[in-house]
Amino acid sequence: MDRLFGVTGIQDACSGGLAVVLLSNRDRLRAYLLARGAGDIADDLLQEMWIKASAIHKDVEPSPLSYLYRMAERLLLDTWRQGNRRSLRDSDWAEINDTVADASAEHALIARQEVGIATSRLRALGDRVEHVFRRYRIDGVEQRAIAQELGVSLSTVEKDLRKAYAALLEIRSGLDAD
Amino acid sequence: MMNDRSIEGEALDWVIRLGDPRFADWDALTAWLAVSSEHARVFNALQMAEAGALEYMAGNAEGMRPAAEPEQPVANDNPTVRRFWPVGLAAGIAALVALGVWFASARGDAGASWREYRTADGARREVRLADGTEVRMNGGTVLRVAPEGRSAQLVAGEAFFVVRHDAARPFTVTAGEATITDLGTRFDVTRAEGLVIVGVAEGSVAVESKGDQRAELVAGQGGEVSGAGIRQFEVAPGSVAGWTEGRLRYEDAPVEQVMADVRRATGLRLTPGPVAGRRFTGTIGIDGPPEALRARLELLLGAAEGEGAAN
Repeated sequence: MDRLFGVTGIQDACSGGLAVVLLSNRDRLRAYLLARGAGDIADDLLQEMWIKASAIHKDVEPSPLSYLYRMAERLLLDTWRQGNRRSLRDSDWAEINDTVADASAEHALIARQEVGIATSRLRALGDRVEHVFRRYRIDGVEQRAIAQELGVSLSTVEKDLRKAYAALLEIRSGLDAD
Repeated sequence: MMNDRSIEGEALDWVIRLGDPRFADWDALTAWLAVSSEHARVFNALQMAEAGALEYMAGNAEGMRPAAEPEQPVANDNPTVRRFWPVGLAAGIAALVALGVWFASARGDAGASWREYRTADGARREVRLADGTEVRMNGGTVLRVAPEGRSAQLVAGEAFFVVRHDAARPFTVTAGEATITDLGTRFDVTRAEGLVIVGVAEGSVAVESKGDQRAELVAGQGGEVSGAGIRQFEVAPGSVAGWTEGRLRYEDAPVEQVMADVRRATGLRLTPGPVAGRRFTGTIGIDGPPEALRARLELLLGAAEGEGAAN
């Protein structure tokens, strides 16, 4: 038998490549970046995504569109976290440069200062909460599956995740009664 | 204050939901973010903090590895269905983990199924995973990819993995009894009958097999996993996954292995004939018209066309 076959998602990336999916969904991706506060770097990020997507002619996981949204997220977060100077249009350089630098410096500072304290707060919540967080975020297991693994309700897992995230991110979980 | 808390609560909801690799509600998220710049600000702060926390936890994550999921009840060529039990977890939790994942797939939940890719002999296919990891499949290969990412199963054949490194979530490949964990690498895995062969081109992997067998391989090293354990050998990094560049390179390899590799990579079936049991040293270019390749192989190996004896 000399045929290629496999199970792929509904949006098959094989025919035109990822770039076609990007073209069809450019407005949605742009709206997402703008809503995140990317501002003037949104178009530059899209340009970079176009270059990367054009080079990909393979199946992507989990679906081409989700893959592109994740790529957009990654590029945006990388910009803020590393304080990279993106190539910006000359006229906007001076103004945007400072904004991006400030934002990324502020974010990096928050991360460094609070992470150690936050993770010990997570541990203080007990083994099950930390276990649920690791299963979800590090092992990528569905919440429903975690509930079944532990023999607890889905609602318990949801609450454990909220507590875990809240501890890590140092905000109130909205579950003060617990 | 109340407003802050509800925005924070909603942002938290979204960040948690985004933690699931299967998330697809992008339009709704965009709409929520666009309500006010405060929404975006809080959301971004949470995401940045989460990224930092995950990196920190990765530093404390020795001994925590993703559990290997059991094989799904999917029809395939492999006659032996095995259950893969995670190593390093307490037996009780291990049983619960395997059972939990089995339940998830048995419910027919589309989001929980492993995706399967196949190639016929001589065909190639490349798959790019959500995390950026690239998998190049050789011919005669069956590969399964975990829905949550960072894990793959080589059911048959050969694949070359270019792994996007993530210390918080090491990439693992299971093949037969072997579990290969990426420690930052480019590596090739072949699954033949009773044998799993790993070659590392760049970086390092940890290879584990049943009976607490474990080997750490760096670039230039290979490992052969069989019932006898893990046998290490040297391999030129440039020759690992040579099939991806149309070259098969051998040093004192059994002719039967060469034939099996040629068949997988090109679909050409050969029989050793008079050279059965002999060994081969040299490089074989496999690109180009099959007739030329057949002629080359007949010259180099004394092989003849027909059903290959071993695979």
